[in-house]
Amino acid sequence: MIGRQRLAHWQQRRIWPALTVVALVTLLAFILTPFLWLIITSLKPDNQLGQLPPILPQPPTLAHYQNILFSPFAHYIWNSCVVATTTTLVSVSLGAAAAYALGQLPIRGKIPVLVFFLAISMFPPISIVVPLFQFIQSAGLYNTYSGLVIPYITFSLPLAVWVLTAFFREMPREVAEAARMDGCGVLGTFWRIAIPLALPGLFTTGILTFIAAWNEFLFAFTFTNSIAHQTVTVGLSFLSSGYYIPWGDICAAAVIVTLPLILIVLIFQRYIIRGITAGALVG
Amino acid sequence: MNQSQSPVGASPQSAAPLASRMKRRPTWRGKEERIVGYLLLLPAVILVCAVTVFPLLRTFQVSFTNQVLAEQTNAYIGLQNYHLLTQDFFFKKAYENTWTFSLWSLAGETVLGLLLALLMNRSWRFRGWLRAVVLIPWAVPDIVSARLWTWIYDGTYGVLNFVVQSLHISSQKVNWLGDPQLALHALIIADVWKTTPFMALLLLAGLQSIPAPLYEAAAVDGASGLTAFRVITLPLLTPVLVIAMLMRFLGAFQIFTLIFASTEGGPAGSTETMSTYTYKTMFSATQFGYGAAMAVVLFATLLLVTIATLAVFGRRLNQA
Repeated sequence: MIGRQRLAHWQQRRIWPALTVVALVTLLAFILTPFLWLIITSLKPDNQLGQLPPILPQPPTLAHYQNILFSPFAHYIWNSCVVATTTTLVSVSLGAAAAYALGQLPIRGKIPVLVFFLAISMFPPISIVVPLFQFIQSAGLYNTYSGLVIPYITFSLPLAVWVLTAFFREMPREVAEAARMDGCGVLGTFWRIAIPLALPGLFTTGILTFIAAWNEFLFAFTFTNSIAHQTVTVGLSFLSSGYYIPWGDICAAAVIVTLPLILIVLIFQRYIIRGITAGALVG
Repeated sequence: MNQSQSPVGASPQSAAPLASRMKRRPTWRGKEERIVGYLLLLPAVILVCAVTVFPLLRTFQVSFTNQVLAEQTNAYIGLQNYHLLTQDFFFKKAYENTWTFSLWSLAGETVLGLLLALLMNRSWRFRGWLRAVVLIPWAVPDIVSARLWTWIYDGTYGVLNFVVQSLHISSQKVNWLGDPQLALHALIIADVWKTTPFMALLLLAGLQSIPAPLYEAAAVDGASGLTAFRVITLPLLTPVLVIAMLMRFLGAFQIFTLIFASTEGGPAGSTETMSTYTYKTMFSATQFGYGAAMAVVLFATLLLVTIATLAVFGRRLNQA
């Protein structure tokens, strides 16, 4: 009996903490090493790409980054900036209006509308890509920024509505009530009181929609066919010419495409996690 | 003006509910707020319907035609496309692959995500950084993930072969994505890598909503950590777990970019999934009608899975 108790005690004091640290380190290694490998490869001189060891580049080179940044690839980056920013602005503003109604105003049928937006956000894009393609062609939007922003609304606007509704719900009604007492109309309260108060929420939503639009591939690949409007994800998928696959350049381009997002994540992780969980768990 | 008239219009109702409503907010204001509310909601609803619901209905419609872009055919053929699907060997293979991919990917990311969430729920010194770092794969674009894992799995220069050889697990170089037996599983691991963070963060939020006194009470009663996990954590986490798993399943079942940009469905169709096969049918063969039928099957499958999940767990989800 005493032996068992002491064993249990020892287990609690020593084995569990050690096991948790080992498990955490293993999981973190699984999560981090693939991305680290991307960075390492992007810094390797061409003649070391085909040989292992050395694991680390000796010496590290920025040649691949130069190849990418001083090539037409830079234009893909610009296109992505335009498309992702426009998508974000459109969906955050329309989403904020809808979410204010859903979170603060006494309208009927809130639950069905929210379920509708949630259902739409789970929509498989492949099941709507042909009609969208036909629409975009007939409207003359093939190979335009609008031809990407409009399809991107399919996922960014439901996302914005959900995350923002969570924020507006948490906002105390008394603030709006007080504004109304002072003679502020419904729209005035929305614009002058609620929007400034919801800035953190708008910011979070903006980050989430920007990342989603930046990462999109299927629509961008289908609705454009010239570098004038193709986004970085499409550009990255084209980076291999015939039999020679320039892995150094590909990895450098991949790092360039991902780095802005990683920085956003590291700086604003608190907001992002709040947004992800609010969007998913409100219902 | 409007404000002074409205109370009269809203008054013919029994006094008691009106009074209780007055207490919360006067009725005239409620009416105006409601109208503005609908107007604020309308643009988003209309726009979303225009870009998703109508295209979906159109896909249904097209699936009953033999529309082929390259041949300019476009006639109503009833259920013929669906009949063809039942005999399409490649479609069946793709359908099976998609189930295999989704279920294994879901299993992997649920186990790892739960483990990670439990570990992150402890008080570590660098908890903020830990959460930020864990988010990295989530932020990585699918296309980057596809290229990154293609490079890691590369048969000649890939780092995975180097690791396997250095650890003396195998002396041969394996072409991970070139082997029909291995390719799908290799891609499942890539997907688990990408999606575990999302799972972990949702579950972490779920864990943090479990009141700490429950665990303290369990500890006082002498329950071991595992017992507390089984009796407190799992039951209380179930709603979040079910929602997170459903969302991830729906995502995994639509897997496109990772496969399209790494193996393109090969070798020998061993990694072909619903989305990649549908896409090729639509845009390589330009068989819009036949492809639309596939898209409908994909959509119907996801709908059925969602309905089944909600039917089984709906009541427990509502309680949460």
